[in-house]
Amino acid sequence: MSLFSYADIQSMLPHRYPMLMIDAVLALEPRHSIIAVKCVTGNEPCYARLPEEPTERQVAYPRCLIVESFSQAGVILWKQSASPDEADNVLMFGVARDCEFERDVFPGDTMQHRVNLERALGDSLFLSGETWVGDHRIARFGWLAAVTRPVSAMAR
Amino acid sequence: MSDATACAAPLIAVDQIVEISDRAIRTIKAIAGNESFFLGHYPHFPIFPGVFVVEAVHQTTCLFVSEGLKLARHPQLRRMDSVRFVSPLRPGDVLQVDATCTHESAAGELRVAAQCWRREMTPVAVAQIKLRYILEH
Repeated sequence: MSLFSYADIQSMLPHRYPMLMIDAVLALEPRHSIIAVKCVTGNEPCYARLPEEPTERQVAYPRCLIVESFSQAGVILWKQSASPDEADNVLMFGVARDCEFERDVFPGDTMQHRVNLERALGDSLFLSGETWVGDHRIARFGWLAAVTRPVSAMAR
Repeated sequence: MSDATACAAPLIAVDQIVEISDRAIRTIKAIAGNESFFLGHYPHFPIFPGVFVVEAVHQTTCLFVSEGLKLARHPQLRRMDSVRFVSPLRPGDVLQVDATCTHESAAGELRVAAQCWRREMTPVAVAQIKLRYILEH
């Protein structure tokens, strides 16, 4: 059961289709941790260009999208932890270190991102965590660093 | 373009190989404003997703294995040792990836260190990315 409706999730993430990559939030402890879910399906844009008879390996969910989805779980955690005067800011990921992939993800799988807020310092924050599908760990994220910026700073 | 685009991928992240040897590769990708992911990243300020720069390095690596090493092996991304984003890319920009690849053939491992640029008269740094692969049969 999700703690937030999909409309709530859209209000916390600036991302929209096809780049909104969180479907539900299962647990949340502001300033500490979140468990958020992304369901992978075969009708996502990343499967548009597969060959007619793909191998299992070719159907594996792109690992860069696992990172994107994990990061978006981190954005929701930050939104639920930030003070109201920061709430309109955008989170920009700057650095990732020591992230390891252990298994593939396939259509039909439900990824569960377990994200920890390690530290928040001024406009910077540091996240770590893991992604699981069922009883299998898919990826470990050593740490990710992000900075918050006002939306106005994003215009060229 | 061989195995690189035969796998599930959120975009075709390499248009062209500019240079290639058995140790390094340079590729480019013109970032068009009509790519569908810009609809949602983000609705009022299109920014090329940072993870797609990582995907560009990944597809560059796939091309390096098939065209540079001339190996029929599948590079499986095992580790992102470090990824540092310096400046964003927007529609109309051209991404250039300069990857130096170290093949430890005994271990079947490939280490990739990539400098990513926005291609201009004087290139602007976009990201530095270090990845580690296992070359699978």
